[in-house]
Amino acid sequence: MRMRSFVKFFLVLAALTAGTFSLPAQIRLTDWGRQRERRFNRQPVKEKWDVRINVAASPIHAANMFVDGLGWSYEIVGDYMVDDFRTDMMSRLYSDYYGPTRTLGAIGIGVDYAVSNWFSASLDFAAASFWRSRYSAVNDSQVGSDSGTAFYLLPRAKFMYMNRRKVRLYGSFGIGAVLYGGFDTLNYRVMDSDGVHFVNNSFRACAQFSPIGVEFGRKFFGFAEIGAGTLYVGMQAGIGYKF
Amino acid sequence: MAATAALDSCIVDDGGNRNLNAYQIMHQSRLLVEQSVSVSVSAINQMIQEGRDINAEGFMAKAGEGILFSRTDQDRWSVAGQNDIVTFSLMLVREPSGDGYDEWTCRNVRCLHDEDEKGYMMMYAEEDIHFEWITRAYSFSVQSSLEQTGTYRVEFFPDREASTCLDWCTLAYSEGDIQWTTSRGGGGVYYE
Repeated sequence: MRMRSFVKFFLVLAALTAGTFSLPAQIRLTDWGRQRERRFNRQPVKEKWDVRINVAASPIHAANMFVDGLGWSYEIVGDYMVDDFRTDMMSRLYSDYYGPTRTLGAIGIGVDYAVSNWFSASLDFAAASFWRSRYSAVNDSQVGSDSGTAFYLLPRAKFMYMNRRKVRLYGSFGIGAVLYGGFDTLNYRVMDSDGVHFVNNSFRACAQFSPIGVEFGRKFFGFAEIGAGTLYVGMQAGIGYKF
Repeated sequence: MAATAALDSCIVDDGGNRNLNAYQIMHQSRLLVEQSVSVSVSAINQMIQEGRDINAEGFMAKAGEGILFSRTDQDRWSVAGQNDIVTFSLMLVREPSGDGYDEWTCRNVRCLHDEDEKGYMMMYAEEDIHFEWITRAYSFSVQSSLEQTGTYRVEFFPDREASTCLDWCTLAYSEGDIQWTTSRGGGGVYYE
């Protein structure tokens, strides 16, 4: 009697187990199940790395630095800025001036590592060059040219709002460093009791925020994002490869 | 055309000469007037109001500005100034009034601002410059100030070897307000 109860219990338990574990298999085997699987399939975690080529059209902050520097061009004596406009009136009036400043934008490469499905660590290296011609105020003839390049190193945290096999939405934020090479407007003199000191403001911090970006594609992908910060204001786009 | 359009789209700053324009020329010209004629008349007038002696043969009214007054006759002085900014000379005539508000006339005004290889500015007045007291009434006060009437011409020579000026400015003072014109266009009335 006891033996029969035991067998009955075991048979019921086995049937329940078999039924439970075969349910997903039964779903996949159905047409509806296959569609459901395709629609909600997640990106394989195995593709953790990707490399990118980025182009940003509007490195506005760097452009302002190249043209205007930090916003002043006075000497600093002690703790005060000195602008002796009275003794150099002719110099001010007839100093050389510059024509339009041009750039091809900020071009760079980046690498991402997917820590998880929703978070990636990124590192960007970019450069933005600027150039302009210099003219004489006396006769408006070209007397030279000016150029400079800003180099950026920007680690970023990337958050995936949506992570699918073919399309991904993300936002990112980064803090890094920028070197303004050839930006003479960032340098000035300081005079104090110890003499003349030259101050170089070429190496500075940078930050970049992008609230929304989209990646489309699997192994080879394209992307576009909007954002604001030291690197660019507006849009950045590019192509990449996941591996 | 496509290449030009592409290059234009790469422009992040239009550039251009932001320092040399009509207003800047007028502004620098006005500075010359202030650093020479205005400061001289103001200095000697202040001496009178402070009760100091202005009948000495020669005196420095403003030592810091390097302005020397040499008395040539009763109520007449030859004024010369030399400092880091300007070198100037003029004849000064006083028209005393009984109420302490003397009027002044400047003649043969000449002023030079020299920056060596950077060029120089030259200012002169072909006719007399007259200083008189102008009283203005405001809502809660009445103010009197010494204002000038007369015309100056300032010429700019960025090339020291040039025989003619590259730019010029005409300042026509009328009781302190300035009607100005320049070689770079512009013009209007500047209210002091």
